[in-house]
Amino acid sequence: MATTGMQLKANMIAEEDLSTRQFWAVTSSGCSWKCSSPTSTTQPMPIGVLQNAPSANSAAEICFFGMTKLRCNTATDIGCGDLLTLDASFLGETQTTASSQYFARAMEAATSGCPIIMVLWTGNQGFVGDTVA
Amino acid sequence: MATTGTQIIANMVAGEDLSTRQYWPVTLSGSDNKCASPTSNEKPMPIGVLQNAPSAVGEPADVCVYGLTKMIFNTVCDLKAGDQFTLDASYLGEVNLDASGVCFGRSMEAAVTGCPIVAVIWRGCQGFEGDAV
Repeated sequence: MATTGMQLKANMIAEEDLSTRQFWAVTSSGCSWKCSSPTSTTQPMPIGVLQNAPSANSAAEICFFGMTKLRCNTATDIGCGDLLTLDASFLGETQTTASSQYFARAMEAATSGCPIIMVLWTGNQGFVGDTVA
Repeated sequence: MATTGTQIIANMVAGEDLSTRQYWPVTLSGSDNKCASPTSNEKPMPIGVLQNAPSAVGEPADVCVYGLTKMIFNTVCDLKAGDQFTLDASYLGEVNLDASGVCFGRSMEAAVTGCPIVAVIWRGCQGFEGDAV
């Protein structure tokens, strides 16, 4: 049987070249309807996961809720069902700190490399001033 | 290119005349499947944003409970794309400046004057029992 799911998407515009950022978390660039790659933990929280690989000023499809692939790191093994946060490079990683925020839930396990795995992206439900790190 | 997105709609019925409340947050009226305009911050948190303008009790009311929607903001808003927003005492959107305040979503557009209707990602309140706006 198929293991897939549904997602909610926003059709935005790439503020910059995101051709190498498919399945990475992206944030709002600060301009209406435009998204960009987060560059530091002081930027606004990611709003979702980029579904395509747009060049600058091209259409960018963002999954802001639901089933999506996500680029992760495996500094700590990712287990099925793990709660995922983002590292300083905005790669998904297992949240190991109690009472800390998470962005997604892993649907698949991963133990090496920078894999792209299926997750349930729920986004940040946090507060103004929250940063990733 | 289009700048749009998807949403989850709850098909409710109006608990009162909501003909002037399109794109305002609404709450549960207290009766089964009925929505109403919040009247004070003692009422339950809004559950979504009204998409149409039902003019009488019992008319269909389409409520966006999650996803991309238009929403009305207050006159003092100085909104940037990507800002997290909360609601004022009148249940109009406003930029969340309270570090531990409840956020209802993220703005997709900028707006600086009037009572603008802007596109947002409505995530709803992920808060705690007893939270008030």
